[in-house]
Amino acid sequence: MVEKMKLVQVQGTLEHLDEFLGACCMDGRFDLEPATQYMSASLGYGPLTEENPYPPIKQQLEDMAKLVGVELPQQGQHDPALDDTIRGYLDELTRRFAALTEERDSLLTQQQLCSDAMEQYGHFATLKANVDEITDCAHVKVRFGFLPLAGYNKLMSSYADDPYILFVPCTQTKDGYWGVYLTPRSKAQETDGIFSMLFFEPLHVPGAAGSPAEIVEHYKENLDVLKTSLDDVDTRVLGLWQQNKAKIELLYDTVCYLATVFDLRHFAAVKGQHFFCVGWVPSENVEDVADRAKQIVGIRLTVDDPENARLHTPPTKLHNAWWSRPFEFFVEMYGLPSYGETDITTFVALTFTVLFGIMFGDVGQGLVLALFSLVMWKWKGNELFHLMVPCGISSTIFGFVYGSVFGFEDVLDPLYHALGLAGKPVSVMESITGILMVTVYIGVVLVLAAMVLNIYTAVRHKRWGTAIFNTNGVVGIFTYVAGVSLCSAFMGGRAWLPGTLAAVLLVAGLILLLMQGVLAPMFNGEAWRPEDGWGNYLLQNVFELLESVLSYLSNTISFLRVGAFVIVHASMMMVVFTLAGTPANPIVVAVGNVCVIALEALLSGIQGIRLEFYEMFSRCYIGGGHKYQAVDLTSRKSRKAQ
Amino acid sequence: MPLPSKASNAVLAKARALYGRRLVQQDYARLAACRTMTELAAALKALPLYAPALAGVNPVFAHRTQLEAQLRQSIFDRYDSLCRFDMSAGDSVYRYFSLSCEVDEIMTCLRCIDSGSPDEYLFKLPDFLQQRTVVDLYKLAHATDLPGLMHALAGTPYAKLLAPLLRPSAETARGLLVQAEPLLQDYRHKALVALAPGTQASAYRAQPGVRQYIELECDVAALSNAARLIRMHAPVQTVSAAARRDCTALSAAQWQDLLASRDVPAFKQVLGNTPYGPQLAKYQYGVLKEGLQKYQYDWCRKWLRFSTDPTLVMLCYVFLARSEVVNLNHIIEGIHYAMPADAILPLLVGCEQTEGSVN
Repeated sequence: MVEKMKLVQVQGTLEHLDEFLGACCMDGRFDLEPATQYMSASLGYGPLTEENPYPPIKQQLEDMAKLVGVELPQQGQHDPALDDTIRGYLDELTRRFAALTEERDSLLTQQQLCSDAMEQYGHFATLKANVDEITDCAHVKVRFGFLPLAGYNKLMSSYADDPYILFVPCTQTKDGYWGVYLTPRSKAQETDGIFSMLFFEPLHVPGAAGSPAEIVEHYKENLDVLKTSLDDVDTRVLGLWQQNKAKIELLYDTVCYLATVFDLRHFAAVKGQHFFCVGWVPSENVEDVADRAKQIVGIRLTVDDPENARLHTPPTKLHNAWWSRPFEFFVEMYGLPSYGETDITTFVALTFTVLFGIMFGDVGQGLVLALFSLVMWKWKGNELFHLMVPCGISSTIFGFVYGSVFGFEDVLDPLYHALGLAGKPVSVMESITGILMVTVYIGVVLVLAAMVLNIYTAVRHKRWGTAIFNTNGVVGIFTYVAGVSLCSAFMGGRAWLPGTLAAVLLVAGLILLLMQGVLAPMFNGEAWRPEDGWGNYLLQNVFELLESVLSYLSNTISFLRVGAFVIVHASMMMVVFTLAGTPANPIVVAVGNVCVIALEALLSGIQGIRLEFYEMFSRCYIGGGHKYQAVDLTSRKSRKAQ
Repeated sequence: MPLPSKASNAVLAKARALYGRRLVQQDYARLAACRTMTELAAALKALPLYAPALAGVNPVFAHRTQLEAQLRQSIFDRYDSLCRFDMSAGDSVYRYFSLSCEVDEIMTCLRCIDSGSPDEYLFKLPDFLQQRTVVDLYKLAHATDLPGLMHALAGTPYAKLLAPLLRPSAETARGLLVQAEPLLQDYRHKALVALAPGTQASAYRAQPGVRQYIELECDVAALSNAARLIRMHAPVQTVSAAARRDCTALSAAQWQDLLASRDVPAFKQVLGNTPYGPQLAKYQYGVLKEGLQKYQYDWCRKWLRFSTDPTLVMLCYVFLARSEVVNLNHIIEGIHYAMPADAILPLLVGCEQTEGSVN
């Protein structure tokens, strides 16, 4: 259900604004709105435009925590103010952390340089010559670098015998060779030109003594020393953090609180030394909020019903039973109900769970899905996994109907015999037509249920014309039932109504639906004559009627997919057992089950959502609400101002 | 339809899929806006179609010729993969592509010899072609004169083809390339014409076939050449001899009228009365070759999409891919000479915002 809201307006002196915000707006019970939108501009009120001074301090503390590698928790405690002593303490702490950061950065830079140099010299590790000696040669020029394969081939084909060019390949990759070329200094320019044309990529290696292998070894030792130094700095950082941990966490909480309060100040309208705040509070919390506000000196508070908010609509806050709460996720995905609209979360919870269970009926797989989803929900906190828990249970229940346990179709036979049954209630592969028929009838029932919900919403809003004459109203229900009865009889199925009565109802219903644009406003006492004349009205409504009839048909037939997925599930398990052979290979069966669970859960989930959104929501739900968002520093669920 | 021909239909999907990864106007604009070769190499490496070919290129040291060579390799790799799919004519088309590359390499070598820097050819030769041609390119790189060249070509069809060059003639003074180019181009032209099926087979087809593609390719070359020679006031006999007309969409009478033109405006006027006239009228161009290339580009783009002939689709794709690489070469050259993007983009074919339409 959608929680009832009250419009709360607060006035007071500016010096008490922070006190009011802190006392009433930080625990998730007051959804503040920009107050200037609720008052005439001629009154001279305007929003506060101060810059929030607290985020930089918050950032400072977060940087410190980042350096230590921890995340600062928000525990909902705070000091009343941030005085000079605390600011001085924070400055000193920042200075000490900055000094350690600088030292650490310097070590990290050195570490990076060593790693780079090691990587560079690593390419030439096979060179059995001292780098310092060959680079200091008086008459020979040396260049380290990479020669692409094409360049190497060309070099070998034409310059292999050149006495002035010596290329020493050290390591080979699939694209070319890392190596060194040597040439007399007098020929250096010419040789450099040749290597440039061969696309040689020179590498500027840092100066070092010894052979490349020795240099790499030397850098390794340096890296060890640097690592020890880094560990030492990290220990000192951690020590400093541990010494000040309690103070820092309290300070962080305080800063978060003050920053949030400061952000909320922007919702207030201010004129001189007076402020005006407005927002929505759930009805059940209004008294408590009002009591708290009245304890503050100079605060005046008025409470109104949403109807008095004129152009403004209250936010939507859903309140459902624990078992249907996870399905709010789907409703929010489609669009929250507007204030006053029927919350269909419970309806979704029931229908989605049943449809999912029908499509994915297997005792073993259902239990696995439920347990896996439960673990993932507890671990990751993802709402999608939360709602898959009841779906898994539903799959298990329907698994008993189909008699399937991880695809083994006969395992439950003793159970059925013990219950006095001849066998499993439904054998999927032997009753395909029956399953498809049943799913269509389930579709008829769910479409009718959606229509009833639509009528309920219309009646709640006293839109009697809509409740009676709408495509999804009373007339719609009669027309739909008559149509289904005639179709069922025509196809050899069971007729729900006598043929003549069904035909009369259908024709009468279609005529009434054609005239609904006139009858509904007439019934509501509104202007009912077509604005563009009867000709236009009839032309337009004939097509709308055609679309409505087609939607009845397509929405019903769409439920065939439920039956199709029952068969798909059974067929996939048959494939798994065919691959597993006789006797069944347990590894193939296990892997096949995992694949089927993953694939089927995804497919059944998608098809279930599709049926909810297209076949049912389109008949009974609009969803144009906006979410209730109140700052709640106590449970950290909603943070409007952060 | 025999099974191998049906199997060749895979090339339709393959070529169209490759064409789907082509560069579009925004890509060209981004590339042309690069200011350095490093920037351009990095941008080219980021393009999905060229990333594998340029994987070994280090943008910091990227060189103009290196990029051009790698792009050329990328296009040859695409010929390679497409020809493997076309079981009906893939082999002969692949042989033509190889032959065409060999002709280009020999001409590049001759150009280096003529310029007095035969060593330069070594740096220009595409290493990837060495395994795919009948000519030993590294031997060719050692040639410093005509006997050296003939020695490198010994045992290949080009030795016999270029044998007349060994005989002293009046043309000797003008350089080897001038003497060899007509022979080599003629050889390439004949190989191309050999790919064209007989006229009987395609005379009544609703869709054009391989022959129509080759006719267009030959006509573009012949008409551009004729217009160029007429502009240079060459004698009628020279123009007539240079225009290869053994595979053409124009009639003998139309060619006669064209070749009899005294200047380029008259040539264009006569061309206007041929089937190419109305098509060329849709384009804006300076020299005739440019207009013909634009028309050929749009023709290939159209039949790549709508033809059901695997070989034609493959040839159309190859032409479009070649045009794309030519465009990239223009960009590379433009950036090398620090040309602004506005000056480079008009030189590119097929990067207009709206596609041209051809009949």
